[in-house]
Amino acid sequence: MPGDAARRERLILDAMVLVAGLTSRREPASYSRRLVELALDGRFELVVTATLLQETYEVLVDPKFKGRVTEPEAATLVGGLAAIASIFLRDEYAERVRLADDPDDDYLAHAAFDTGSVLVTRDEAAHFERIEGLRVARPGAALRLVGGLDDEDP
Amino acid sequence: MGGLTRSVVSGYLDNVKDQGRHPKGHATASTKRRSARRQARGIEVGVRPESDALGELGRLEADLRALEARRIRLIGVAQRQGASWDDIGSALDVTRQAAWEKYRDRVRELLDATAARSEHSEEELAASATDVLKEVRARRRRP
Repeated sequence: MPGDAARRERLILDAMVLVAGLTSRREPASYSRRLVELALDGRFELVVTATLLQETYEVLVDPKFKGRVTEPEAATLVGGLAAIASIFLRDEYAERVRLADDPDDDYLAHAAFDTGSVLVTRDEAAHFERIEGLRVARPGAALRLVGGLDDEDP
Repeated sequence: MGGLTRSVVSGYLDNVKDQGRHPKGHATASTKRRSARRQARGIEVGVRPESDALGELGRLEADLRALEARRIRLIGVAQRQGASWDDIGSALDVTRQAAWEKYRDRVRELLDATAARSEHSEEELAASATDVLKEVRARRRRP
């Protein structure tokens, strides 16, 4: 487990980023996959929550998902992420102030605020960026933030 | 919380150990001595000559993979219960660094496998996952 955790950036990868990163083919524009690989290298602190991992698991095994994996594979991938995550939060936000437009996304916004993390998201970035003070990045920008993207990258 | 984690993970490991013991419980001292004598004479122990050794090996491999997946799941559970990597490493009788590396490597191995067989870009997968995630969340909201 890499040391100097205090100096590393904290990132929350939302479920869409995680499932894309865990199941896509490897190509230059696979920013989500590269983020997952950098998390495994300990280049940043991966922050997860129980709801986030549950959602990720359920998408991974859903027959309608194009990148579907078997249940044992999904259990290993998601369990492994839980195991290597620096911070594992329980989701106890029911009584809290509503932050996100979509109540289903509220737990991510709270988790990012509580841990001082950058929330990495794909299509939802604009929606989260409206929340004042929340640090939001798309996968490419997040990669650059943690030093995983060169200037020559697409 | 560390004690609880230790008991969860240690209990699991004990069960795993028990699966390899004598069917009626503990192997007796005489059984062990007999096995040792047979091994000393180069006689295989536990595999009857007429048995399907390759089939057994395949089943053993599948069992080991299932146990490994279960162990990884239990580590996730232990973390949810508040266990630190020091606690987990202690329960698994390995250093904190070794425990972290072990599970990191297992995930990386699977990631390589999914990359090798995947026919889809991240864009395609994200588009596919959008609708699925909506359904997952709708299911969760239902009483």
